[in-house]
Amino acid sequence: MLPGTQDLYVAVILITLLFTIMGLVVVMAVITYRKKQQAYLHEIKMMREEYEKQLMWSRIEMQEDTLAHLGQELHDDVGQLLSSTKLLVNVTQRNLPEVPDTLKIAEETLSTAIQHLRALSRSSSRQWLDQFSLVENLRGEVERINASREIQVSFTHDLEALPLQSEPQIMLFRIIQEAIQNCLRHARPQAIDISMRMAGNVLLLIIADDGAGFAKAEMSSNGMGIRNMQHRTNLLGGTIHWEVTSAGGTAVLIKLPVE
Amino acid sequence: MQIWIYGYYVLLVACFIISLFNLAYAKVRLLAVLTGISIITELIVELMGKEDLHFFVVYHFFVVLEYCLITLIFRLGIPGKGWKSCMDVSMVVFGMVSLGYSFLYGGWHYFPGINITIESFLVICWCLLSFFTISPHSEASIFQHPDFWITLAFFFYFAGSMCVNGFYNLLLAGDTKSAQHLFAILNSISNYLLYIMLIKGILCFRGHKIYT
Repeated sequence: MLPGTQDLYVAVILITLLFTIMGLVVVMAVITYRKKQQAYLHEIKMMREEYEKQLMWSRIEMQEDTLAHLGQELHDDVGQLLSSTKLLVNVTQRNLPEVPDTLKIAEETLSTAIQHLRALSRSSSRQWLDQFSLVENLRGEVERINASREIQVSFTHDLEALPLQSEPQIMLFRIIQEAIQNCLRHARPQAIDISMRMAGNVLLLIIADDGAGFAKAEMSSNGMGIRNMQHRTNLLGGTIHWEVTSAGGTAVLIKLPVE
Repeated sequence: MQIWIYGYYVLLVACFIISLFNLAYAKVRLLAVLTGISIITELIVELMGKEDLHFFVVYHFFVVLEYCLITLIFRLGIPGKGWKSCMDVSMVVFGMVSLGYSFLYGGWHYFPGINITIESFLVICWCLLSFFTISPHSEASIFQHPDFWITLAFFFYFAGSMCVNGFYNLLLAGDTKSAQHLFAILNSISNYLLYIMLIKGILCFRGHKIYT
């Protein structure tokens, strides 16, 4: 006996109800899955970031070690050779009744070379970086560049103490070095101005030059130097931007959150 | 009526063949066994039906096998030893209860409606559990997850046909021919959905990272 009209309605209602419940279950399952997926993807993202961070730190440590080794070698080997040469020049000068100008210039050049080499060796030495603050390192770097008298670099800051650990300070120093090198290599500036100040909990660093500037649209982030600077800044949890100044030069703006 | 049933047979065989090409995955291996047993059962039922023998007896055993295989499929995807133990126990208990009921009360010559209803209830429980324990392993949507389609297939099939199967004996007691006709159509439709979704699930295994 097949169901009558009334029973048919009941059956239809029951089936509709059943399918509605089934549909709701599926919808809830989809929502639950999406929530789990978001949590999973977030976890993966965090793990990836942590991994990249660790990788970058390792790379930086390796770079620092290589630089320190290079600095030590420069100081111990080339530095010693130059010092010996200077000593020989001095001995020669003393033995000569009249010292020729060329020898005097050679002696002066040797002295300058030794000075530059020591400064370079110091700035590459990890120990030296650990001992001194970023501000002092930067001053030394500025003095070293200014000694060449080809370009005028100024460094200003309003900080009593830099609220950064030694490692981030080294990293920030390397970023600034890279920025200065980029500037010297590509912009041919007359002056570079480095300024550092605190704006709330953010350390604001600006490296501006009066050089040739750059076309923002053509700027490539694939360059090793720029990528390094971006990576290092990201590792410090900050941001880095390149802007064209009103005078047509380049300004590198670095913002770092500090506690 | 024949067209409906033959359509279902085609899908059943297609599902079996596709599963044979994807035996690298444990769940598909179990699905292949399940569809293989389903094919053999349907063949026996067809042959017995032609000889006017009581073919319902086959379903009494098929239900137990089907439940065990489906539970094993879900067991592979559900985390937690507690649930796995529950599933193990349920297979033994269901086998004993189902066969015991058929032997003592239901009789082998009647359609195992109660057995199927109990099976459906248990499978729906595992489906609900499976739905909410599907773990994402990539950015892929849930609709590309094989577990979702397999669960959905069994969920729709058992939830949809539970009512019909449960009351099939009552309907048979009234208008046998119409009841059989209605049952065949509804059963075929739910079977179409079941095997289409199972095929989709099997195909999803290939693209899903966690299984490749």
